[in-house]
Amino acid sequence: MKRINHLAIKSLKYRKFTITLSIISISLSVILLLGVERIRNQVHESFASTISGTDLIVGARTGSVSLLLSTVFHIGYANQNVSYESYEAISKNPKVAWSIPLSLGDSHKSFPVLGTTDEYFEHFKYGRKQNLEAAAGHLCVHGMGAVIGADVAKNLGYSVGDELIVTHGMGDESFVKHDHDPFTIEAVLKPTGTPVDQTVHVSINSMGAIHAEFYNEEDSLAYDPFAEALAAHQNEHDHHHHAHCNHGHSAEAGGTPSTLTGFMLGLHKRNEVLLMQRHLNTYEDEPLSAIMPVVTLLELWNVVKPIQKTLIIISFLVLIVAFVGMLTTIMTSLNERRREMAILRSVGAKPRDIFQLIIIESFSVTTIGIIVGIIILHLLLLVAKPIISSQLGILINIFDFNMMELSFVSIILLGGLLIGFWPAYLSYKHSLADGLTIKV
Amino acid sequence: MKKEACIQISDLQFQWPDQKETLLNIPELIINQQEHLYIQGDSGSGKSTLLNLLGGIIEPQQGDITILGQSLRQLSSSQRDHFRAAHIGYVFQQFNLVPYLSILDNVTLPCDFSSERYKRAGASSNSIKKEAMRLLSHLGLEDEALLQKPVTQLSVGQQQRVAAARAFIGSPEIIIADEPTSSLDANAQESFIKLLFDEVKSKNTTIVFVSHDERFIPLFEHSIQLTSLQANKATTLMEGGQL
Ligand SMILES: Nc1ncnc2c1ncn2[C@@H]1O[C@H](COP(=O)(O)OP(=O)(O)OP(=O)(O)O)[C@@H](O)[C@H]1O
Ligand SMILES: [Mg+2]
Repeated sequence: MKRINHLAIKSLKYRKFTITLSIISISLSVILLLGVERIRNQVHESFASTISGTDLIVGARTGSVSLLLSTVFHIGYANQNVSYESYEAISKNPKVAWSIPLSLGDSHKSFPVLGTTDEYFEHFKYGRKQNLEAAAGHLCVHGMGAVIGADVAKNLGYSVGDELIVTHGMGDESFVKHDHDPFTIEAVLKPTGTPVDQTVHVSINSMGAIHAEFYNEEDSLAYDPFAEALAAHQNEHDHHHHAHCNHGHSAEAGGTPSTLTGFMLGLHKRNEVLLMQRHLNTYEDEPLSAIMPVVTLLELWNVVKPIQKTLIIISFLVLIVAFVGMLTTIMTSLNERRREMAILRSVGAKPRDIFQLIIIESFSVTTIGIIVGIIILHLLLLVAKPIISSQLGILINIFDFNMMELSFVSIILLGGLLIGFWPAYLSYKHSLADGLTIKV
Repeated sequence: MKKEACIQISDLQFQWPDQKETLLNIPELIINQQEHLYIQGDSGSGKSTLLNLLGGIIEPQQGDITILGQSLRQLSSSQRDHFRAAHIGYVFQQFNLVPYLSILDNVTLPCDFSSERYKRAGASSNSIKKEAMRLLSHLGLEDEALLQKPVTQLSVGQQQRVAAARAFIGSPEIIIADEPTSSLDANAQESFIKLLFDEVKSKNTTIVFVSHDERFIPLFEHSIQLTSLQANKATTLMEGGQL
C-alpha cells in the first residue's frame, strides 16, 4: 500500500505538466461550481431575510414584484404614489397594529434616501425578526436627523454628527440639490446584509418639508396645501414613542408629504392578512396594491431561479469537461505505461497494485484539484467580499460550507474516483494479459 | 557431487487464451542450483512465455512448476507475486527501467516489494542504498554525476546494467534474463553476460538466460533448445555448451 502510494506520487511528479493541467481544470470547475453555489446560497439567504415581520406592503396599483422592488429594495421608481389620506385611513383600520410610511425617490451620492418615521426602527424587521440596531448614535429620524446604513457610512466615511445633503432623484449628477437643508447623521446602523445598509433614512416630514420649500421657492410644481395641515397631525402622532430617541421634537420640520411611495403594515392577527390584502386590493378611494412581502420575495426569487439553475448546470458541464480531460490524460498515458506495469509486475507487484496505482492518480488529481479550487475560491471570496457586500449588499460567509456545497464536493470526489476506475481496470487487464513482456 | 534442484517442471502444458494449439508442452525440465542455463529458441517459440510461467505470472493449464521446493500450483496468485519478488530477479530485452524513478530507486525497487530482499540487501551492505551503489559500481556505474541522471537519459547499455543491478539486489536465488543483450552492440553483449557471471560467482545463484541468438551458447555451462524440451522428446541437458 505504502509503496504504491510512493510510486504513484513519483509518477505524478514525473508527469507534472499534464497532471498540473488536469488539476487546474478540476480546480476551475470546483471554483465555478462552489462559487456559483455559494453566491446563490448567500443571495438567497440575504434575499429571504430582507424583510420579516411586516405583514403587508401597500403601494399604488402596480405589479407585486415592482412594488416590492421599489419599497424594499429601493430599485426602480414607483411612478404612482399613494395619497396620504388613504394611508391615514388605512392606518386607523382596527385590524392594523402599526404602519410605517415610506417615501422614496431622493438620493444622497447615489444611495437611496428613504423618508419614513421613527416607527420604522421599531417595527421594521429583517432576517430572523431582528430589529435594526445602531452601531453608533440613536435611531432618530425626526427633525433633520438621518440614520445611515452601514455601507453608506463605510463608503462615504460618514459618522454620527456629519451632515449630508439630499438630492432629488437618483444618481450623483442630479443637479437639483436641496442644498440649504442638510441633514445631520444621528446614527449609523449595524450591517444587515439587506438594502437597509445602502439606505439613508430621514424623516418623511422633513423630506416633505424640503420638497415643499423647494417647489415653493422655484415656484414650479404645485405645492400641496394639504401638506401643512397634515403635518400638524403627524407631529401629534409622533409624540408618544421612542424612549431611546432623546431628541426633542422641537426641531421637527413642518412638512408632511402629500403622497407616499407606499407603506408597511403590521396586523394584530396574522390570520387576517389575506382578508386585509383583499380589502386593500379592492380599496375604493384609490387603486392600491397590497403584497405579502414573504410571498412576493419568493415570487421574485423564482424569477431568478432558472438563471441559477442554468449556472449550476453550466458549472457541472465544466466539471464534466474537466473530468474528460483528466480521463484523456490518464488514458493516453496507459499505453506507454504498459512497459512500466510489466516491470512492476516482475519485481513483485500484484495486479491490484497496478489497479491501485492508476486509481490513486485520478483520485489525487481530483482531490488536489478540489483543495486547490477551494483555496483559490476562498482567496477570491476574501478579495471579493468587501466589493460584493458594498455593491450588492450581500455578506458572503467565507469558511462556511453548506450541505449543498459539501455534497458537490463529494460528487466531484466520487466522480473522480469512478472515472479513475475505467483506466485502472484497463491497466489491470493489460497487466494480466501482457504478463512480463509486452508486444507493442 | 549432486546439486539440489532449483527449478523443476513436470508435465507442463500451456497455451494463451487466443491460441488453438498448445504452445508449451514440457514433460520435464530440471534446473539445478547454481546452474547457468541458456535456453535457445526461435522467435515465437514460447521462451518469454516459459519465463512468465517460471515467475508465476501465468498458470499452466496442466502440470506444475516447483521452485526452491515450493510448488507454484499450491500458491495463490498473490502468494506467487510475493514469491517471485523474494526469489527471482528479472532482466528484460529493453526498457527495463521505470521512467519516473531515479537510478537508485530503480535498483532498490524489488526491496519495496519483498522484505526478504530488503533484509538481505541491507545485510550485505549497511543499507539498501549502499548495496545498490555497490552493485552499480560493480557493473561499472559508479560516476556520481551519472547516478543523478534521469534513467531516460542513460544509454541502452547503461540501462541494462541498472536492470542487472536491480535483478541482483537482495540476492535472489534465481536470475531470469529474457534476451537482455539483444539491444546492445556485439562487444557490449558479451561483456554484459560476463558481468552477470561475475556478479554471481561467489553466490548460489541460478541463471536462466533465454535468447534466439546462438552465439552466446559457448559462454554458458549448459544450454538447451526449447524445441527439444517440447512434447515427448528426451530432456537431457547438454554439457559444455554443445547442442
Ligand atoms: N501475453 C500474450 N497473450 C497472448 N499471446 C501471447 C502472449 N505472449 C505471447 N503470446 C503468444 O505466444 C507465442 C510465444 O510468444 P513468446 O513471447 O513466448 O515467444 P518468444 O519465444 O519469447 O519470442 P521472441 O524471441 O520473439 O521474444 C507467440 O505466438 C505469441 O503470439
Ligand atoms: Mg520473448
